[in-house]
Amino acid sequence: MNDTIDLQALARGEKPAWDGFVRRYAGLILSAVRSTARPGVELEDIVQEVFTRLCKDDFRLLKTYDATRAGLSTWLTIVARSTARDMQRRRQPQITPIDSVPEMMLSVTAEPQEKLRLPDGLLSPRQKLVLTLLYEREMDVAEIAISLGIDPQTVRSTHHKAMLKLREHFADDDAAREVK
Amino acid sequence: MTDKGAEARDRRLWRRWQALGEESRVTEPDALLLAAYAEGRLSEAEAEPVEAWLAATPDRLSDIVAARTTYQRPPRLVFEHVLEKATELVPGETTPASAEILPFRPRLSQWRTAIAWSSLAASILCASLVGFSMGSDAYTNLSGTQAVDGSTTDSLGTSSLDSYFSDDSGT
Repeated sequence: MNDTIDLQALARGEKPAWDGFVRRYAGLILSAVRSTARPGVELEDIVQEVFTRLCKDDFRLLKTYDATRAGLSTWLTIVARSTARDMQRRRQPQITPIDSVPEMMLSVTAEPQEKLRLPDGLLSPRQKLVLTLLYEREMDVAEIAISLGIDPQTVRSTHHKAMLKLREHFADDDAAREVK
Repeated sequence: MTDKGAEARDRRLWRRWQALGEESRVTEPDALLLAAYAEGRLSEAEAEPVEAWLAATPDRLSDIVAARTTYQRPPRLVFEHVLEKATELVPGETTPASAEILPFRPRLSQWRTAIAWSSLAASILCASLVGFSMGSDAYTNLSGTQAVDGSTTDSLGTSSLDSYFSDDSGT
């Protein structure tokens, strides 16, 4: 989609620019929020909320957009999905089943916790992300590569390097424990 | 990662790491940074906070994927009342959208209109001629059959009756 739109006129609050913007991007916003919507929340309400957020406080959010950093469609998709999540979070009461809460969190007298030795910055954010997607989300290498927009070989090498670090870390840890 | 044994070992190692309970205090990057990440415009260093946040909240990866596929996805149709409601957010006189609306039926050129009407008239004429000739044939066939039937009945029926009565005429 071509992202040519008079952003300056839009930020100045000019009505024709706003009308053109709404007509042009309402479909995209609807499409973006559709997959995040849960039952009970009207899609039309979410679309309206996205537009409200964009023009609220003298177009404060819209003014943060920088065309040199990202495409308007991409930015709007992120904004729309984020708005949809916030809206649904507000509408749904936060209920945590008691079974999913660890017992120690429920205990009245907090027991002293053994302080764990956390290796600081052992894994890079990308390594953590790749391992999380592989082992938590059960995604395969090809899926991760597509999701992150990187080469499958990069995913494999990131995984390999992360595992080398973890093996080394735990080998040292185990050796230290044996010496004790 | 094809070896099942190695994969299981790696998974165990990851679980062990997870059990250490590393706290991830990452804040959500702003929408522009996420959009730039989705478009692959960030350097490795710039992408670090985004990837750290995604590692902590992997379900939000769907936002990145959705933003990346925006161009391939056709925008959905929106009802007019949704557009009206959104345009009312900014005060002022609403710009007519007539310029963007295609006419319901495009105007055809004169010769194309003439051809269309001629074809219609020719079709009606052909249908009428065929119908008329079929009707005429049917009428001719039926009237011929009736004439033959009538003569046969007359000659056979009359003669047999005549001979029947003539035989009994003496009684």
